[in-house]
Amino acid sequence: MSTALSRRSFLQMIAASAATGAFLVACQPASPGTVSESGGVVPTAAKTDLRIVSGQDITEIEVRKQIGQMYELVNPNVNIEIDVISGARSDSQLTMIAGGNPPDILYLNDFFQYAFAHKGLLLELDGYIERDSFDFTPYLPEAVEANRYKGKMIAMPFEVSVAGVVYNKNLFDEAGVPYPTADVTDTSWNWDSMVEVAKALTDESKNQYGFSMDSWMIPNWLLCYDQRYISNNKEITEETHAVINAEPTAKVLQYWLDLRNVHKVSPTAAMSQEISGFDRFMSGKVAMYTYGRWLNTFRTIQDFEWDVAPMPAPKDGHFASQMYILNYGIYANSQKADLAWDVLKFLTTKEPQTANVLTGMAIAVLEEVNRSPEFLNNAPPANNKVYADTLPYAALWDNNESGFMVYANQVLGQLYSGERTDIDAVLQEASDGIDRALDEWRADNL
Amino acid sequence: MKEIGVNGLDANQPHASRHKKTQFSRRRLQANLEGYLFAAPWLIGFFVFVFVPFFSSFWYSLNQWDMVTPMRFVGAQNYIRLFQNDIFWKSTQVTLAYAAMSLPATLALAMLLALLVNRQNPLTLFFRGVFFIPAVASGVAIAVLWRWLFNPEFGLINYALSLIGIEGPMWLASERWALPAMAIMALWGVGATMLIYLAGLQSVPQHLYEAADLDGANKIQSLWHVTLPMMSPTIFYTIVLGVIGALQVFTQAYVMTRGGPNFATYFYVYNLYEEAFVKFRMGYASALAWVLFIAILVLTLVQFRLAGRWVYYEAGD
Repeated sequence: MSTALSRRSFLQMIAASAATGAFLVACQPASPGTVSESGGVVPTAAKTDLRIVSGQDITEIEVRKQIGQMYELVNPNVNIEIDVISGARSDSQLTMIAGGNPPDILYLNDFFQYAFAHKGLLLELDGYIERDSFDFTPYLPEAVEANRYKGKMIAMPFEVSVAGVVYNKNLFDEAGVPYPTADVTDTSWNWDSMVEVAKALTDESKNQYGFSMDSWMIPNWLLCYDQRYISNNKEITEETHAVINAEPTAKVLQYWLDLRNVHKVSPTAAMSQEISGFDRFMSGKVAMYTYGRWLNTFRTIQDFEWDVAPMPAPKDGHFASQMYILNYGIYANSQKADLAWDVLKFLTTKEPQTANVLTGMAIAVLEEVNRSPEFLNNAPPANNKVYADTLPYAALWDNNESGFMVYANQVLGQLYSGERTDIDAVLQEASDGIDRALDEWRADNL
Repeated sequence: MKEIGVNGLDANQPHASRHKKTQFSRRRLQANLEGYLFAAPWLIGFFVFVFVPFFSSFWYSLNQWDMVTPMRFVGAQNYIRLFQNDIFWKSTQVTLAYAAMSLPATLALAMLLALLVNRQNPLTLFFRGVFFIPAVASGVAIAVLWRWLFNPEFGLINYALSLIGIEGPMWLASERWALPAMAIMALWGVGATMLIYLAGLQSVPQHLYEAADLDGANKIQSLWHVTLPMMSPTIFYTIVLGVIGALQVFTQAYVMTRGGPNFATYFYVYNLYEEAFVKFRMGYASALAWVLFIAILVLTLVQFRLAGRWVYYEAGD
C-alpha cells in the first residue's frame, strides 16, 4: 500500500483545516452581550479597557489587581487590564511601544522616566492638574518634584521607598548586643558605632558577618555628604559634568572597603561574587544589611526575627537616604488619556495608597498614610516608623538617562571586587568615563 | 551551421521550444506544489526574519533611531562616530584577543581529543559521550556554572591551584584574567569540534596509512603527512566557523561579567547589544552590525583565498 500523500489529498487536507478554523472562529461571540431568557442577545454597555503596567512581583501584581477592582467598583464601565513587565522596566515598556502595543499608563522609575519624557513618550499633565485644581499639598514634596521635568509634570507619584538597615534580632540577642536605635535623629548611631556593633556580631568561624551592603547602595552613603556623580543631576544640559571625583566619594569608598579589609565585618569581595548580601541576610549569616521597603521577601523569613534601623550617618556628614520612586504616567499617544488621568488621580487617593503599603513593599506618597496604623503597625518590621521618619531626609539620585552609570560602574567595579585599591585613580577614570557618556548622549540628544 | 541553444535545444526553433519549456515549467510547478508548500514556512520565516531585517538594518544604520521616535537620516554619521568611539576600539580589541586566545587552543584540543577517541572500544565510546556533553548544554547554564568554578574564594579552580601551592587570581573580577578565563571556559565546549574531527579522521582512507607504513613512516610522520593533509578540508571548515563564532561571543559577557571589569570582557557583540537594547540607539547599533558583517565577510574571503595553499581536496585537481 502506498503511503505517499497525493496532491489532491494534500490540498483536501489544507481545505479541511481552513474550513475547521473558519467554523471555530464563527462559533465565537460576535460582540459583548448577554443571552436573554427568550434566547435573544441583549446588548450591554461596552466596557472601556484601560491598560496599566505592573512589575513582575506576584504580590505587586495582586495589589494592582485589587486596586484596579477598587476603581472598577465605582466605575463599572471601565475594565482595568494589568500588563506585567519584566524587571528591565524601561526596556520592556520601550519594546511594547516600539512594537505598536503600548499600555495607556506607564510604570516609571526616576532612573528612566526622564528619558521617556525626553523622547516625548509621556503626556504632560499640567493641563489636567490645572483643570481639576489638583492639590499636591498632602503628598511628599520630593516625590512630587521628581515628576517635574523641564518645568512640566510628566507623571504622578504612586509609591516611594527609602533605605534602612534591616537586622537579624536573633543574632543580636545571641551576641548580647542591644538593637540599633529606631530614632533617625539619634546621632550615637553613626558609621563608627555601626562598625563596633558589626564587630561584636561577626564570627568568621561560623561564616557569620556583622554587616553587608551591595555596591548599588553607595548613593545612600554619598548623600550623607550631598555628594553625587554628576552636576545638574536632574536635567542633562551642556554644562552637566562628572563630579564623582571628590573627597567625600573617596571617603565613602574607603569606609566601605575598610569594612571588609580592615574591620573584617563584611564578607570579602570574592565571597560576595556569587552570594549576595541579600542571600546572606536571608540565610541568617549577616546581622545587618541595607535595603529598602520595596520587597516583601523578608516577610517570608521563618528562622529568625528581624527589624529595621535608620541608616547610620557619618560624624562629619548628616543622616540621609536615597529616595526610590515609582510613578505612573500616561502614554503620550494613548486614546484614553482622560480616563487614564482619572485613574492616576485615583491611585494617589487614600484607599489604593493604603492597600499598597499593606503589602509591606512600599511607602505611600500620601503622607497621612505613612502615619496611619495601617502602615506603622504593619509588622514585620515593627519599626516601620523608621521609614516614615527617613522620608524628609531622602533625596533622588542622579538622572541616568545618558547611561553614565554603566561607565562609572565598569571602573568602580574594580574597587568593589577588590582588584584595585587606588581610590583616587579609580575615581579619575570613572569621572572620565562619565564625561564620555554624557558627551555621547549630548551628541544624540541636545 | 546549426546553432545549439541553452540546454541543448535547437535555437532555430524558438517558438516550439519556448512553448514546450513553458508547458514543462508549469507542469513541473504543479508537480512540485506540495514541496513548495512544505518549504513555505521556512521560506516565509527566512524572508521575514532574516532577509528583511538584514537589509532594513542597513537603512537603519544610516539613521538616528531609538525605535519609539521618528527616524532621522544622518547618512554615514553613525559609521564615522563609531570609528571615533573608544568603546568600539576597546570591544574590537577584546574580541580579537579572545579569538586569538581561544581559537587555536580549542582547535588543537579538539584535534587531540579526536585522535584519542578515534578507536573502537567501549571506553573511547564513553569518552566521546563525556567530551560531547558540554556541547549540548545551554550556554547560559555553562556560564553560570563557570562563574562558580572561577570564584576566587571557593571556586574549584583556585582550590585545585592551591593544592600545588599556587594562589589563584581573581579570575572574572580581574581586568587581566577575565578574558583568559573566558578562553579557558571555551575549551570546555570542544566536543562539537571534536566530533567533526572524529568524522574527518574516520574518512581518511586506511590504505594511505598502510602505504605510509610500508614506506617506513612512524606514527608522528603518518599524522603529519597523511592525517593532517587529508583532514585539511575539515580543519579549514572548523577554522572558518570558529573565527565567525569567536567574533560573535556574547552570552559569557552578558551572564558572567556584564562586559567588565573595566571593559575587559566588553566584546563587540556585547557592545552592540548595549547600544541596541539598553540605550536603544538602533541606528548606531545597526552600523556596528554592518561593520562586523563586513569584517567577517572579508576575513572569510581571505581564509578561502589562503585555503588554496594548504587545504588538500582528495577529489580535486
